[in-house]
Amino acid sequence: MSSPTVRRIESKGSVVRDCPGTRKHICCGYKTIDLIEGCPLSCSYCILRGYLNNPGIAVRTDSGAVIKEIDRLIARIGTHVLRFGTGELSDSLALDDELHVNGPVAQFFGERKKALLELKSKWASIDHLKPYLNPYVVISFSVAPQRMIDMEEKRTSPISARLKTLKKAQDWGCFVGLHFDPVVIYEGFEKDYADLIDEIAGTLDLKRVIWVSVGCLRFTPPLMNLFLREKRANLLHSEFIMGEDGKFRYIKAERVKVYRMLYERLLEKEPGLFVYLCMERADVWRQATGREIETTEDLTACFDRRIGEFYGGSFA
Amino acid sequence: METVEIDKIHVNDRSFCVSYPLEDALLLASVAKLGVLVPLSLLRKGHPIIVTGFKRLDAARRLGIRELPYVFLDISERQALLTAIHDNMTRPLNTVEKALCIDKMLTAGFKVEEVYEVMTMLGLPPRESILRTVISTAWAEEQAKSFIVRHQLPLTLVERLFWFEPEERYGIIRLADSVHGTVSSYREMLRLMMLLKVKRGAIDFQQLDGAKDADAIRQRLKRQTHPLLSDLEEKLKVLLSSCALPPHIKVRVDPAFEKESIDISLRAGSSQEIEEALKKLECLTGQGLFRSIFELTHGTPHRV
Repeated sequence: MSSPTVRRIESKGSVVRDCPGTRKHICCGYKTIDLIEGCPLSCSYCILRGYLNNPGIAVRTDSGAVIKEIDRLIARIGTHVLRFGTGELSDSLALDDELHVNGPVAQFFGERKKALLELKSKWASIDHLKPYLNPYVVISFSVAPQRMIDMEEKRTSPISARLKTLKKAQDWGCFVGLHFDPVVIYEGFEKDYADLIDEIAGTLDLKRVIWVSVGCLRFTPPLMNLFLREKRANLLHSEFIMGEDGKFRYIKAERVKVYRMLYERLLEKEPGLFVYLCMERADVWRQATGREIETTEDLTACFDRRIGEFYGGSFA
Repeated sequence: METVEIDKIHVNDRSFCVSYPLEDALLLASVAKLGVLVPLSLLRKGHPIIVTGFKRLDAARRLGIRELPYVFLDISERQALLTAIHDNMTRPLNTVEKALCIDKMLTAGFKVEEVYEVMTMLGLPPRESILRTVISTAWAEEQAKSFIVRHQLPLTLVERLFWFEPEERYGIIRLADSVHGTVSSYREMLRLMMLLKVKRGAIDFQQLDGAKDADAIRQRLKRQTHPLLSDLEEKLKVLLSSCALPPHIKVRVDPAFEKESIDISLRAGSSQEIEEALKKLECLTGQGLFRSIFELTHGTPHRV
């Protein structure tokens, strides 16, 4: 990947934050580590297009300070297993082969053995990380039908490469995650997503997929203006309403339909999969999955149970 | 003060004209009563051409005045353009006039930084996207310019208007002029039309013809862009009108049908009114009104 302008910066204040979540919707209680700000992949729907003002990429160079901050947080919060990720303000892996920012952090999680680091990406490149990987690092990929990738994620790795990379991570002993996010409703999306799930099931060992998130396309009003100006017929194909968090999202009936379809198909492939909805309402959770998830704490507890299934008592 | 015959001025040279429209009823009345008091500024270029005073000239011509006071400016053409712009800045400029100022600077070869400086003075954000809209406005067909000025459209709406093809723009202007809406109603109309164009590739103006007001146009557009939401709204309307709620009992549903819960409020001036309202609500509950409303707010049948 050709590199955009990269600025190396020192951390000013905290770089570890709670995932901003979204008002009146249930969040998974994830912690974000802002090692990199800005993303070279330029997906058309990316929320970063409306968030970050500085063009180019900013990289924290002082990984030691960042690790200390993570360590303090792990020591302070003993009520549940913390999950951290570096993919909130950037793609975790897109530039990592060049910048090498994740390695030391991944190594720390392997040594600390008290929390998980999730590297979330659409860029199929993990070979450089092999020396640092350990069971406490979850390699995750956003997954989407290739047709969607061709239209809206043009600079990212093809789905087949992403799945092969996940398989490789599994072969190296890592647990992996899948993120169907954003799910986009377009002409023929049902079949494309069904085929995608078949491809995933044919490639990965689903018993070693630690979590699967599903989240329908949602975006801020400035992005709506951008989609209109750019005539993104694909993204605007279905019907949007303004959610209680001030973001556009598909009308509830459509979201429930999509979630049910994906949830049921995924569980058909592996009944033990842990599938969660990203930034959804309690009633949507209930209608789509039949599960009573009312609060962020409810969902966090589900994660703790899941992690317990995978790691046994090692987090005690 | 020296005067010049209008015939001796190159009146069709509008290189420095940043006024739009030239017709000005107040100025016309003033000139009719007192004549042209402030001299035109002219630049020698073969025949003299006007730097400032286009509106005065227009008023004078309408009134049949043949001679006007003038002063010659001994400045370059670039300075003349800046003089015209700054002279007009002493009054509030409309969106088209601002666009003309900027477009003429670009045509005259001013540097982008100089153009941005004037944009800032005119209250226009100095950005490339704004510059594009400004240029489109300056070069727009007369009908669009006139529409923008008549309805005092802000630049954000002008940008949306120019997003459409000229034929579509014509249809939009015709439609908007037929209902006399407000800026906010035009904003919503344009947003829905953009959405419709993106989703379907075209706007069927025939479906919108005959709407009695801006809200009716918005509803017709929304039925096309948001069929599911429109259907829910329609069903809710039917349910609420069928149960004949007394005016002191209000049932409110989230307009996006996101929230499952509904708000019921009642206004009462006595215990008896409260009792009556509660009886009415009990009766409506028995008739299944609220169950039907909750089916709408749930969005889909529950999982079994």
